[in-house]
Amino acid sequence: MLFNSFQYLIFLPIVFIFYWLIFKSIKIQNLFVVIASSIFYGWWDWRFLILIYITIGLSYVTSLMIGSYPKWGGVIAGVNVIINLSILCYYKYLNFFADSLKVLFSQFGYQLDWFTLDVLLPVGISFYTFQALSYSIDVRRGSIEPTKDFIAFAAYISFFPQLVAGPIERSTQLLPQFLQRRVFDYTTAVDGMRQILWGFFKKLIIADNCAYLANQIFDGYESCNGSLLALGALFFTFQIYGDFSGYSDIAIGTAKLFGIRLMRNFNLPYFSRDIAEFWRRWHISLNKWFIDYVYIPIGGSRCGKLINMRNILIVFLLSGLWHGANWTFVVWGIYNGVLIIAYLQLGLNKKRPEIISPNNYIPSIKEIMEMFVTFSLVVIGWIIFRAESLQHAVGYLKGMIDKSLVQRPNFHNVEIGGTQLVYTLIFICVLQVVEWVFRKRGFGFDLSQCPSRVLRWAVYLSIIVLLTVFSGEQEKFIYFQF
Amino acid sequence: MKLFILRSLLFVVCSITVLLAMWIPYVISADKCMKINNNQHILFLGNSHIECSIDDRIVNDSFNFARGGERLECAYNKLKLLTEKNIGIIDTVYMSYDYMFLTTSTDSVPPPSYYYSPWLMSQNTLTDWLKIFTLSSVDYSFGHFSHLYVYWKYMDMLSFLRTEDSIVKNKYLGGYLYLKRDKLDEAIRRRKSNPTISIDKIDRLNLYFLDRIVDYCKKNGIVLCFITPPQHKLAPENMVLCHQLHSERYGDIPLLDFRYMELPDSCFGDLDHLNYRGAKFFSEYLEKKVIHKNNYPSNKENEGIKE
Repeated sequence: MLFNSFQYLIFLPIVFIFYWLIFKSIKIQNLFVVIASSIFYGWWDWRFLILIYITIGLSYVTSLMIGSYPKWGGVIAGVNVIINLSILCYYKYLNFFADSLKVLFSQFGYQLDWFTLDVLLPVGISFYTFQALSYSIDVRRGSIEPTKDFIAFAAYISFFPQLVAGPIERSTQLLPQFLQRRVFDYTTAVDGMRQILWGFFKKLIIADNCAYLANQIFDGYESCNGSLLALGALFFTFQIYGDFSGYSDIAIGTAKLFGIRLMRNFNLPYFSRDIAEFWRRWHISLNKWFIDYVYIPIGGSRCGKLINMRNILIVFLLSGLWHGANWTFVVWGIYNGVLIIAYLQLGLNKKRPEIISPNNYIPSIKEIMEMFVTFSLVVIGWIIFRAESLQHAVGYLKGMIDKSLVQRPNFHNVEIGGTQLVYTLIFICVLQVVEWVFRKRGFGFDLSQCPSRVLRWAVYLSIIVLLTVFSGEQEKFIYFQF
Repeated sequence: MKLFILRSLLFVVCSITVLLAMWIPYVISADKCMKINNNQHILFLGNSHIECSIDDRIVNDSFNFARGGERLECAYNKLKLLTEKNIGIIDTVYMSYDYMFLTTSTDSVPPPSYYYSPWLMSQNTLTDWLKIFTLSSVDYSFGHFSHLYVYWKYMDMLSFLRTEDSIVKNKYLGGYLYLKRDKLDEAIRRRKSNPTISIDKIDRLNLYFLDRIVDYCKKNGIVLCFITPPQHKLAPENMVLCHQLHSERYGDIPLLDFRYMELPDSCFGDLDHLNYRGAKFFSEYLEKKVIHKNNYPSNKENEGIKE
């Protein structure tokens, strides 16, 4: 079930009312969360439920075993990790590796008759697998006691707002919330509604409109000049941000309605002043996951420069692969790893306060320059990410980094309407300005401190009108495929 | 909790009120903005195949009101609306008749947002709605409401308030699309790498609305013809089902099948859409040899167009 679907519009109020008004006991509430999440997830394809329940059951049993047999904890956790990753690899990477080997061997004149599987990639498999893995590892490390409450554990893994596209929650943060009584809090619920509204603005107005424009330009890149290609890259940059951070806002807002706090997943990434800062602000839950469960265990930054560089590359390579089974994602991951290493070597990665320019209305010239350079590098990365193949990415970049980059965009061979182009650019500016103004709050458009209710409601209704007038065609969330 | 629910309901009511108020300009303007010229008595309806193939500036006295992604529900509503707002003007309708338009291949796709113009949606009767919900997929039927207000695009509103013939000028609801696309090579590559085509069935909802169109035309004395624009020779063979349906059910309605008409590659935007060059050739052909001469060649009699 998509957040931006009619079904969800019906589903959410029903679940909310049952959850708070009818099922008041914590155990029944948790059971209801599991049932509601199964309906939500099974709406795509009921067969997906089998896989998620295998993951839930396996992680639950192995974690109890780790608690019971601490001597064998490492082996049991290892088995759990291997099985979960094998399921992930089977559905997500088997065809990719088989095809890649086929191509490799064909270069040497060998034709391999590999089989490829016609399997459907379960929605959000990477997200819930990583969440389940983090639980097992945390239990093994002793960060959390294994829970005996299967229903609470199933609710933790399958909690519908964050099931298919995160944030990837830590067991230490989310599981205890399912083990204790939740109390309805008016302020939190209203805050959640605001965040949902803002998430829809990002998704329906920014991402869906940018998606149409970016698709037109990326599909017809061969006949576009440099400036139009740059515009296409810019649209995809905001498409992916609006899409994913919009999803996160809707997920976090929805969770607040149920008295559950989820972690922040995006923190104004396009205002970052260096690449490391960008990765501290973009998809925060995944990056923290990789730092805690990959980067630090393999040595982190403690074992000398060379080992640190290797570790950074490993993390970004895995992060790239996590995003999808395509060489473009692998190269995108390596590209980001190399950038971080370069910044590190040049001493440009700095520890920066979480809030950018906290005491100024606008950033300083130096900060603007840093933001511009970082943003440009990120945009280049998104071109690789968006391209259908490496050849596509190279062709796109070649066409873009050309003298025609400073010429007027040629719209002759792409089907783009001038009106949509203009209002999409205007809304991108609105997004950036609003997020900048509200940068000290939990999310853009946090009007909780505005004293006038009339003004607040006027703004909310204006957003509803904007959503109805300017929404693009319904697009699925990009990150579902990961 | 009660306060939260009450205020949420109040907010929903306010939102609905504001959104309903947005219908007013449509209601006020429906009469004037749906007007077509008095000489436009030939109407073309259908999906992107018609939208891109027939240049109504070339085919005299015609109006191409087709739109990409359209299904027969929408075509039927357009037909009703235009004939009601332009009494006695439209006397002939050429309706797209091809695989994409008739089969279930588009049923799982939520309809494009322009479907939900109140002009079009309001044409559905209760029976139509019942059929929509019983004969189509959840995505399609509920999709009507998930996009309920998405239609209300900025420029459309401004343009229809400003001009009288905005529907003709503003092609949001349909109109000839000057297709600049030149992706035939890419489409051929894709087709060759994936030669199988999924075999769909004739869609029951489309069939229901096709019957409604046939009845409507009969009742109102409108001549109805089915038309299949040219497609590239490498496009999937997909007319068998359509021909079968035609001979079994609509034998008395002429079918102008140009599916296999020979056209040079430069006329195609991709495998199943003509680009502007193809549209020019095809429209001139229709104008000179078919439309005004009631000369309806069968598939085998198509003489083709050489560059």
